Amino acid sequence: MIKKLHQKIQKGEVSSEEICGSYLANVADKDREINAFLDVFDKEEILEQARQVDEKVKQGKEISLLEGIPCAIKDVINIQGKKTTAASKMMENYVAPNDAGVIERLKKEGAIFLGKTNLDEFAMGASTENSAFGITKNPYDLERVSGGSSGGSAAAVAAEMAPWALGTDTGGSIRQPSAFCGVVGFKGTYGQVSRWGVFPMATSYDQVGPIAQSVEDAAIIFKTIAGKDERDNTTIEKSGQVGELEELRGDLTGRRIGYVKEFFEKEGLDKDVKEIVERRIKEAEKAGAKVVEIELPNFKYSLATYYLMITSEVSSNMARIDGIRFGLNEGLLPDSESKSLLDIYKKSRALGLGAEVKRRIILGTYALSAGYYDAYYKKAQAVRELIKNDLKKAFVEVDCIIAPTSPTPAFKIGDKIENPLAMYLADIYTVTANVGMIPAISIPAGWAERDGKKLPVGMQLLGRWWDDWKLLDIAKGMELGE
Amino acid sequence: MTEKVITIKDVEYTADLARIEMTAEELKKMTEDLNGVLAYFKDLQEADTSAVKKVNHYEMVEGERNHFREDEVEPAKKEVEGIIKDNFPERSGDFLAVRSVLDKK
Repeated sequence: MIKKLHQKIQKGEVSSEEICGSYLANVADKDREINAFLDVFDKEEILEQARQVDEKVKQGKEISLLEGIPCAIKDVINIQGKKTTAASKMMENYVAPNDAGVIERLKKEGAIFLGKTNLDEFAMGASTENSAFGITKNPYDLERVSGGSSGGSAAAVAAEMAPWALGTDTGGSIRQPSAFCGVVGFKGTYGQVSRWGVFPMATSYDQVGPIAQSVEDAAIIFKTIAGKDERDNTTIEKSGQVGELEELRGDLTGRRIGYVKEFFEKEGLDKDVKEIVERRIKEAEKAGAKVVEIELPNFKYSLATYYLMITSEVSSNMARIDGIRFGLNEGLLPDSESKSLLDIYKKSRALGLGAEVKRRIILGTYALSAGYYDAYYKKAQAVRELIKNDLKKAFVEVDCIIAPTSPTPAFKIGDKIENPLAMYLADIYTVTANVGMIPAISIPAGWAERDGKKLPVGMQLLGRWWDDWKLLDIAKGMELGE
Repeated sequence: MTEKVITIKDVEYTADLARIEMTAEELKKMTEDLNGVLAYFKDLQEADTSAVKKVNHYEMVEGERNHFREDEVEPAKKEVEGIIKDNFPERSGDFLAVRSVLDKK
């Protein structure tokens, strides 16, 4: 898709202005129903950028792959001078003072930003139902969720309101909505992509990554945004040292695919999802891949480890949201009841934050408090090491591990929102990659029919640390034909 | 039937530490929610972690060590500084205005 658009712009067959205009028309046409965007940037401003690219082409200059192609950005990623709301009332009027590291890289390549996309408040959730600015509906069935937390980005790409988008993934927030919306979502090895200028949720888990229409598109975007950034010390020299696009051939011959029986015997795994993913495994075998049964003995602890650690990190990261330097400040409201600075903190946070964000802050504060720290946070950190060790052993025997992305297709709006544990269980297959800090991708695997509607089903491939490019290559080999 | 791990008093105390004001109703719902989640977390205690000698303080990503750099102060660009100041909820010239922290007796 990106390559095709690029060639058309470069050859002068279609202008960047026409492309941007047609995506903006789709947004105007569809987004009233879907609600994928929180902010659509000024049309003239967008088209002016496009015309500059077209002018370059007319002058016979070569443009880069992403140049003149529009995209959408999850609203926790800063674009200078634009709002970053994190889908929270608390940040409703916050203007980003600088470009995030990933945005700097994209601007350098000439990408054009259409706007900012919806998410669960501060990226906490699996359905976008926690957004303070309305739910993003699933383009395949408007009564269902788009997934989360990057639901706006996934729905925007699925409904062709943007050819690609950026999301963030702390426990599946790129992959699960991609699966629900039938698109490709990729998060690289922890340390591949800079998080500078991205609102942090859980610092030892967060990664920024692409949501796109094909594995190749995801690879193009990933290659652009990955790399060392002095301002995020988790990025290192190795970051972004990925292969060339031509190397992605998708040849599965000799590829060893890890099969974990437990994944497919798990209670709560939808029958259609199980069948579809197992069928795709058989097809991969036919195409020359070798399926190897492996065990991840500590997989059963992944979800608890994940939620204990991330809520702890959330409670710490969210401490800055107190209404003092930016954001909603209760003390300045005409009917303020604050009598002290402490009141301002407590009332601003009470007023500005949603139920799930409060739940995670309090759970994390509890897990970190004296008397519980050892039993919760420290224990979870140790179990994380066990899970990493399991993966280390597994990746001696296999090149990747296959799993469903989500145990079910997109669920109905309202189905899980009242039951936090049920919502957390939706992350059961995705969190392992973040706990293990490994790369993982979700690609469309098939369709399941529900209430007379065809819903996309995704499958996931997990790769070894820093083998991001190899993982993308295998994913390309397993991608459904057009 | 979720087992009680955390009491309403614990939640009240924790919410206070977390600087979030909560109504009696919110506290009740939060206590129920957290008990459900904490019951699920209980299984974690069964994991045998006796062999884990160090956690990722040293090994952030498989094979990688922590990276350090000098903490150097760079002057902010005018444009950046301007937006940061514009984000101040209350401002007095170039300063962020906050309510006094100390009580006047």
